[in-house]
Amino acid sequence: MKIALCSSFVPFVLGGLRNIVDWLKIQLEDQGHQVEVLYIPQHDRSDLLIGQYANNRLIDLANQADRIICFRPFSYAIPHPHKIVWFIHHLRDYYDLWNHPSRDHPVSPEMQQLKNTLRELDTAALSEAKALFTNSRIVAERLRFFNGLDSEILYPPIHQPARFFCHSSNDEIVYVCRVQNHKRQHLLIEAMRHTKTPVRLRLCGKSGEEHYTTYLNNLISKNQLTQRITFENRWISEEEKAIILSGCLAAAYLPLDEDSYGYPTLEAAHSEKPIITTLDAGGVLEFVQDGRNGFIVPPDPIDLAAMMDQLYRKKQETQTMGREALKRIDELHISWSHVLQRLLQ
Amino acid sequence: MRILLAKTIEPFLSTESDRIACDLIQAIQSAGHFCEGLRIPLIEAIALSGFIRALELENTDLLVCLDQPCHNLRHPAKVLVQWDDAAWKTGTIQGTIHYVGVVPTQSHPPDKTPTSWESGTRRFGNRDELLQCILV
Repeated sequence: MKIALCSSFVPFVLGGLRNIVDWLKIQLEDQGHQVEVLYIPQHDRSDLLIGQYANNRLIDLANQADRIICFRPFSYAIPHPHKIVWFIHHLRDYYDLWNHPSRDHPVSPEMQQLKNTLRELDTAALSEAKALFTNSRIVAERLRFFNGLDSEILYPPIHQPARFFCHSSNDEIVYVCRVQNHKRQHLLIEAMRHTKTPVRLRLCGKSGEEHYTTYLNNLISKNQLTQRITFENRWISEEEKAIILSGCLAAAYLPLDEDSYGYPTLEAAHSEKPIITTLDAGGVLEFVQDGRNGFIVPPDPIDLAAMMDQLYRKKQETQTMGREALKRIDELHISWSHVLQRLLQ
Repeated sequence: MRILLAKTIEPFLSTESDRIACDLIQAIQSAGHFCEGLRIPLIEAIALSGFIRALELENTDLLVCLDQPCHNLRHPAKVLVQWDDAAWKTGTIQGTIHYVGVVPTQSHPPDKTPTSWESGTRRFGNRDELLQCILV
């Protein structure tokens, strides 16, 4: 079958949203399909949005592709008689974050109109799909609430999960993830001030926010935590990541209101490590079950510190929780065979 | 530098120009730059120019346009590649580079974004010369 994978992108910005497309391409090609990936540049500036929407409607793959699978906004606006949508997220500033203080647009009548128009366009374009999937329960709920559309949850797996393994259990809680303010590495550093055991922390990842990196470094040195916290502010290769996770005590993933469980969660689970997260982490809470395969705590350094200490003190239980994390992957049908079966039905 | 290589494509068809583009991306990456491709699907001609003009490219220091419709992409620093048709038919990589907003007067190290550019043209007679023309 000829399958076009269509998504939007910002050049040179890599990460989860690209991985889902690129990894699916590999899986489809392994199954003998011909795959074409189309990334259409997208800019989130408000005055460009409608034009970009219209641009996607111009793309005509009806005579070339047997089906298209669309991901990010506004790739699902591409018309096709056999359009499948694996919906990753809304443009959230015009949806659930419309009234959020973080939104940087003024609520003018023009913006109100834009919001309404985008929602109408989204609903119309998504309604054209032969099948509508989402990457998490939280995104599915938003689709139902804002667009009145039902969808099936299809959790995205990671590429070659077998490269992750469990080797041992040291004293470190690791957080392997892009270093960004909304990933909240600072909460873990602050928590380390309150721990009562020799538990250690390792933060790994590249930052695109220099001021945040500086802030983290200052926070570590100001609190005299340099002996107990390792901050590797660089790109960590996949091989390195697997090795770091294989020997750690547990993993942490504390994003603010994430759209899905996030690949760091899955990588930790494949490494048989429990995951510490927070009540406001969004989609992560669909994977982590408090006390079974990790801990869910308020986003507060003192609460986090208590759980970090517990993981350190009760290593036997920590290892059991790690094994439960691995089981959770199967429970949620997180596998490429399931993804292909659903997308190609 | 972050260098984006733009070209049109016929979906599901792999052409000689696709192979050259892949080769260039790898060569530019080997030279220490960030480089990736922008593949514009060929659509109805009337719509194509509007489609291309409407694309907004951010996060890119230099745009290299490998064929004619892509020459119309908007970006403050563009390198337009014009292939010699006769040479192309014989499998030779030969043509002219047109710099738009880019000055080919000094070498730009991978970690530096050029700051002062102007326009000009240069000839290239093979792949390595083309690469040099892009990276100056």
